[in-house]
Amino acid sequence: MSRLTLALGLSLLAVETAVAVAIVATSDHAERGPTIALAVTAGVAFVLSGLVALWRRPDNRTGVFMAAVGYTWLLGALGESNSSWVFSIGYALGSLAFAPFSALLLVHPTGRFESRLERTVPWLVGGALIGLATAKLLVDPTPAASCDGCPPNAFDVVDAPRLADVLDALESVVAIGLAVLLVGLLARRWRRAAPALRRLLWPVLVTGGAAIVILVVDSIVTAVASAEASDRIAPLFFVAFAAVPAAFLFGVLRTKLAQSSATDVMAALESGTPLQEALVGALGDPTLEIAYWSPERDSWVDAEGRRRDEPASAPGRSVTMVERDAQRVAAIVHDSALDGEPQLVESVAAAAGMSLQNERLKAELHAQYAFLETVANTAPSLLVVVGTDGRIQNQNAATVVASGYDDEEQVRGQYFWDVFIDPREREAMIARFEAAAPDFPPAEYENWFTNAKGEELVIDWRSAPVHDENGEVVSIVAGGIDATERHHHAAELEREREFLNAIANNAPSLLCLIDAEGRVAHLATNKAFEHTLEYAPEETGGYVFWERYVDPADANEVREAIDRVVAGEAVPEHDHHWLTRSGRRLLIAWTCTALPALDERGLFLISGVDVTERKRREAEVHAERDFLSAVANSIPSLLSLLEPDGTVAARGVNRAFTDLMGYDDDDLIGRPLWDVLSPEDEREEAATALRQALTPGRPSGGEGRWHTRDGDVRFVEWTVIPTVDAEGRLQYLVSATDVTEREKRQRELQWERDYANILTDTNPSLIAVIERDGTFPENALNPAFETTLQRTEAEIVGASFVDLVHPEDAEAAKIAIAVAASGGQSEQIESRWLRKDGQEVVVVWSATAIPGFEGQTLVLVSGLNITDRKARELEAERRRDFLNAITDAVPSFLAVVDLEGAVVERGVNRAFSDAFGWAASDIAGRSFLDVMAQEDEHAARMAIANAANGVFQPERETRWLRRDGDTRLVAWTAWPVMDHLGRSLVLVSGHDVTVRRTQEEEIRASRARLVEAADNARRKLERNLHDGAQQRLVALSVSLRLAESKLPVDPAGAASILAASRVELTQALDELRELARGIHPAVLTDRGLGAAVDALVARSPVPVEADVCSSPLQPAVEAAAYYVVSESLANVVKYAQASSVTVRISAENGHVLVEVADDGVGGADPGGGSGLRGLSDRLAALDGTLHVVSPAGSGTLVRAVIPVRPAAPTA
Amino acid sequence: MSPTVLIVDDHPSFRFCARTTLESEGFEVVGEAEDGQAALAAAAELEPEIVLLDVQLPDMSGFDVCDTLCRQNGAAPAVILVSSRDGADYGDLIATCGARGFVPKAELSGAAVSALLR
Repeated sequence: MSRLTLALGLSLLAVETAVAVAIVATSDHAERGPTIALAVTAGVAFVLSGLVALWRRPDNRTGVFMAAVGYTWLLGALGESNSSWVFSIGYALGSLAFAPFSALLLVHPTGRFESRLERTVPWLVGGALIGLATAKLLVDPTPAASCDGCPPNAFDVVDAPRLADVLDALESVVAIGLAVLLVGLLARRWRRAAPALRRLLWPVLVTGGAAIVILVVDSIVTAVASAEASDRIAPLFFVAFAAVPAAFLFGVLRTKLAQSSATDVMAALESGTPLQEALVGALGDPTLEIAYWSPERDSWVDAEGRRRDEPASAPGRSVTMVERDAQRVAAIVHDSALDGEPQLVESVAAAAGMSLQNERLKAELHAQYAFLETVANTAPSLLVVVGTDGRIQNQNAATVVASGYDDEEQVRGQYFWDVFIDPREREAMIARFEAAAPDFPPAEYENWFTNAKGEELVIDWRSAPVHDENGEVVSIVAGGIDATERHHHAAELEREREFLNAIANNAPSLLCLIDAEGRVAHLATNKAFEHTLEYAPEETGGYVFWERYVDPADANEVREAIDRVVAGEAVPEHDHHWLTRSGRRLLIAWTCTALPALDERGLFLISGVDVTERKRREAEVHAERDFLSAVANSIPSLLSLLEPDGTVAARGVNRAFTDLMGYDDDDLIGRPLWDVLSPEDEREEAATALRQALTPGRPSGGEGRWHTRDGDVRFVEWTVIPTVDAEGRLQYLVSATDVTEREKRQRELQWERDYANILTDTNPSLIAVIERDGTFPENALNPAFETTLQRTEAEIVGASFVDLVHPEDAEAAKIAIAVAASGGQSEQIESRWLRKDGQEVVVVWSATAIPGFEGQTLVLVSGLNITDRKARELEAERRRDFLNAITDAVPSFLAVVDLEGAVVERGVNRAFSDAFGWAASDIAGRSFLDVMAQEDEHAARMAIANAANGVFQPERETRWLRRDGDTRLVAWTAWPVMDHLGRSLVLVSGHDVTVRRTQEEEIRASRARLVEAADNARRKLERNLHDGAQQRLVALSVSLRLAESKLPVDPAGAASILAASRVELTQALDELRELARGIHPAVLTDRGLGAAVDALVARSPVPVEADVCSSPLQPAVEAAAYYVVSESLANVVKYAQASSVTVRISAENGHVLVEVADDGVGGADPGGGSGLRGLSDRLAALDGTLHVVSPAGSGTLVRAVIPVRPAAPTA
Repeated sequence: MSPTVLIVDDHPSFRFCARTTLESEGFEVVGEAEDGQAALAAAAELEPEIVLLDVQLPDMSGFDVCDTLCRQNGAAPAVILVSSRDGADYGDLIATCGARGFVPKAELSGAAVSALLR
C-alpha cells in the first residue's frame, strides 16, 4: 500500500468520523453517551486496524475487509440525522457493515475465501439486510419503532403496519439464519485448522463470533421481548464488535513477539531440552518434524537414523531447509501457517543449527548401529557376548531362537551355561570357564544340549576374548553354528549303511563292489560271494574281478559287459562261468550296476546268482522234450495232445499235423480241436465223437472229415490214447491218419461207374453194342434205343442189326458194321431204321470197334434220331421258298447285307435286280455301298452300321447307282435281321421315288407360275385401268368442271367442251369393255365355248376356220380351251405371219382335244413365252397337257389334251 | 403478270384439259412435256414458275423429276404433283420430294394450284 493510499484512507476516516460525530451531536433522537462513543470508537478501530494490516501485508485482503467494516459502520451515524432524507438513507444503510464484517471473519487470516459458499455469504448478508430495511421504509412511516424523536420516513409510500410487522419478523429470521450460517462456516474453519493456524485464528474468531451471537440474541430478544431489553444487550455487542480489531492486532503482535523465540531456543537447548521439543516450543507447532541429511547414505533419515522420504511440501505442510557452512544439514517440516512468519522459522532454525548438526551425526551413528544389528539378527549363526562372569550380555536373534526362549530379555543376564549347557555337563563347563579365566583364549566346543523348549540341539561354538584399551578381557564373544541337522543326517546315514550291509551280507545273491577298472574293493563282498567262491572276506579285495573270479573262457565277455556299464550303458543279465577258489566252474546269472558316486571313485555293484544247478536241470528237461518232439514230429501220423475237455494242450500238435492241416500250436492251443477242424455244421457231430472217445470205456477212435486251414477236406481215421503230462495230469493223445487219398480214389471209382451208367441211360443217342457178326448180345441197348425203335431188349437179343435197317439202306449199314468189326470206325451215315410198327426212323449213325470185357472186339453203334429234324428242315425249306417268292414279288428294293455292308448270297430281290441291273448272283459278296452314289456313301454306311446295332433308322432318300451308271432316287431304310444261321444282318428296304420327286418338282413350279401369272394379270389389269379408262375419266372430270364454269359466260365454249367430253367418255367405255373381256370373256359364261370362239374368230385379223364341238363341258375345261385358242390366235397375229389358221375343239375318249394350227413361219419355243407357260400350268391344274409342234418354216401346231370328268349334274 | 406453267403428263387428253382449265383461270401455260426427260429439258429452256408434274411418267418417276428440278441452281420452279391416284397411295414421298404440293387430277383447277402456291 502506498503512502498516498494510506493518507487517503486516514483522511476519509477523519472526515467520516467528524460527520458522524456532528450528526450524533446535533441529533434530536440520538442516544448519546458511552454506547455511541463505543460505536464510533469501534468504527475507527476497524479502519485503523485494517490500514495497519494492509500496510504490513498489502496482498492480504483481510486488511481491506477490516477497513471496509469501519467505513461502513460509521455510515450508520446517518440514521441519527434530523433530516428526514438523511435519516431514511442512514436507516437503509444501517446494517451494511455486517457484509464486510462477515467477509472479514471468513478470510482471516489468509485473506482468501475457501469456498464458493463463503464467497457468497457477504453478498447475502448485505443484500438481505439492506433489501429488507428498504422494503420496510416503503411501508412503514416510522421504521425505527422505539424512536420517538426520529424524523419522518422520507421513502414511505403506504402505511401498512401489518406488512411492516411481517418485514420485521422476516428481518429477524433472515438475520438469525445468516448468523447461524456464518457461525457454522467459522466452526468448520476452526475444525480444519492446524494448531499453528488456530493460534492466529482464535482471537478474531472469538471476538467476532461473540459479536454475532450477541447480535442474534439481541434479535431474538427484540422480537419476543421489548426494545428496552434489547437496549440492555446493545452495549455488550459494541464491546464484542470493537474487540475484533483489537483481537486482530493482538494476533499480529503475537507473531512479532515470537521473533524473540530464537534466543529462547538457544537457551532451551543449552538447558538440555531435546531439540525437537525446543523447536516445537519456539515455533508453536506441535506437528513439527525434523529430517536429517545423511551425505554418506545420500538420503534423508530421521532422528533414529532410519531412512525416510525426502521432506516435501504438501497441502498444509511446508519445508524449511537448514544449512550450515553451505552444507545441507536438515529440513524442518512444519505447518504452512508459519509461512506467514518466514523470519521466525529461519531464525529458529539458525539458532538450532549446531544442535541439528549434532543430531544429524547421532542419527548416522544410529543408522550404522541399526545396520550392524540387522546383520547380526539376520545372520544364521549364533552370536553371543558373555561377560567374564559367565553371564550373557547380549545375543542375536538366532541365539535367542536356539535358546528356546521367546523373549531375548529372558536370555540376557543369565549364565551362559544355564541356557546352553545340559545340567549334567554344567559343572564341567563351569570348571572349564573358570580355568580359562582370566585370558579366555579362543576355544572351540561342540555343545549338545536340550534347550528351553525341549529341543535337542548341537551347536559348534567358537569363542574369542574382547579386550579393553588396557588389554584386559572385558567380555568373550562366542559364535555358534547349529549343527543339529548335520548330526541327525550323519546318524541317519550310518544307520542306513548298517542296514544295507546287513541286507547285502544276508542276501543269497553274490555281491561285490568293483571300481571302474574292475578291481574288487576291500571288504566289499558279501557272505554269499565269499562262501560260494570259497574265499575269506579279507581275501576278496584288490583283484581284478574277471581275472580272479571268472572262467578265463568267459573273462573277455565279462570284462566287456562291465566296461559297458562303466561307460554308462544299461546291460542286461548275463550268464557266465565263474570260478571258485578250488577251480569249480559255476554258472552265474549276473548283472553289473553303477552305484551313485560316493567320492571321486565310481563304484559298481556286481550281483550274481548261482544258476548252475537250475541250468543243468533245464538242459535235461529240454533234451528230453526235444527227443520226444523229434519223435512226434517224425511220425507221419497227425498227433495232437488234448486236455480232458477236448481243448488242445500246451504241447499242441506235431509237425505232420501242421504240415497237413496248416494249423500250428498258436492256432490250436486252448481251443477245442473240433472248433478248429470242423466247419460249423459238422462241429457238433465231431465234438460228440471226440468227447465219446475221451470217455473211458467208449470206442476210442473213429473217422472224420477234418478241414485244413486252406479249406480242403481231409479224411482221417483217428484214435485216442490217454497219457499223463509232466505234472501228472491226464491228457489224451489223438493220433490220426490221413486217409483222404484212399477215400478219394474209392469215390472216384464209384463216381465213374455211376456216370457211365447215367450217361448211357440218359443219353438221347441210340447206343447199341453188337457182336462182330452184327447180332445183338444181351444187355446191349440203351433206353433211347429201345424207346426210339419200340423194341425191348428181350425181343432183340440174337437178332441182326442190319434187319432193323430199311432194305434200301441195308448195304451201307453192312459196310459200316464190317469196318468197325475189323477194328476201324465207319463213316457217319444216314439210314432209315425200322420201328416195330413199321414206321421209319431216320438215324445218323456210325459204328466203332470197342474192346469187350473178355478181350474180344465188339461194335458200338451209336446214332442220333434225326427224323424230326429232317421234317423241320423240310418245313423251313418250304417257308424259305415262300418268303423268297414274296420278296421277289414286292416292288420294293430289298437287299440283305452283312455288318460290313457286303451283300449276302441271294441277298437282293427281283425288284432290285430289275431296277439296278444287278443279278443276285452278281452282286453277292460285293459291298452294297457300291450301289450308293459317292456323296451318299458315308450316310449309307452309318445307317447300316447303326441299324445293325439296333438303332432305328428313319427313311432317307439317297441316289442309288444302276449298273449302267444311271441313278435313281430311292427312299430307303435299314433294319437289323437275323438269318437262319443266326447271323446278324441288315435288311435294306427301299422304293424308287425318282418319278414322284420329278412330278412333285413340276407341281411346285407350276403352282408358283400360277401364282405369278395371277399376280401379273392383276398388275396388268391395274395398269390398263389406270392408263386407260381412269385417265379418260380424270380428263372428263376436269373438262366437265371447266364446261360448268364456262357455261354462264361462254355457252358456246362450254358446248364445245361438252362435245369433246362425250367423245372421251365413249372411248373410256370402249376401253373398259375391252378390259373386261380380257379378264374373263362374258360371252363364254353367257353363251358357251362355241360363241366365245366365234367372237375370237370375228376379232382376229387373220382368217380363221373354226370347228368347235357342241358338247357341254365343265366351265374350267371350257375356260382352258378358250384361253388356248385365244392365246394361240394372239401369238399367230403377233409372230406367225400366217395367212390362215385352223381351230378345232373335239371331245373324245374322256378327253377334250384343242388344236390351233397355222401356216406361218413356225419355230416357236414352247417354254419361251410366258403365255404358253401359263397355258401349260392352267392345263396341268386340270391334269391336261400342252404340246407345241413348230418346225421352222412349217407352221405351228398347238395341241392341248384335257381329261374330262362327267359334268356334275346340274340341279 | 400471269404465272407461267409447264404441264408434264403422258396423256394428251389430260394435258389438254389442264391447259384449258389453267388458262381459263389466268395461268399462262408456256409448254407441255410427255415424259421426264422432255420435262427437264423444257423446264431448263422455258424456266416456268410452276411445273404441273404427273407422278407416273413412262420413262422415270415424277418424284425423280421433281428432285432434279428442285435441286437445280438458280430459281427452281414450284412443282405441283398430280396423279389420278390418291395422294395417300404415295406415303410420305410427296412431302419429302421437294414438291410444293399435290393435287388429284380429278380436282385440278387454277384455284387448287394457287392455294398451294400461297
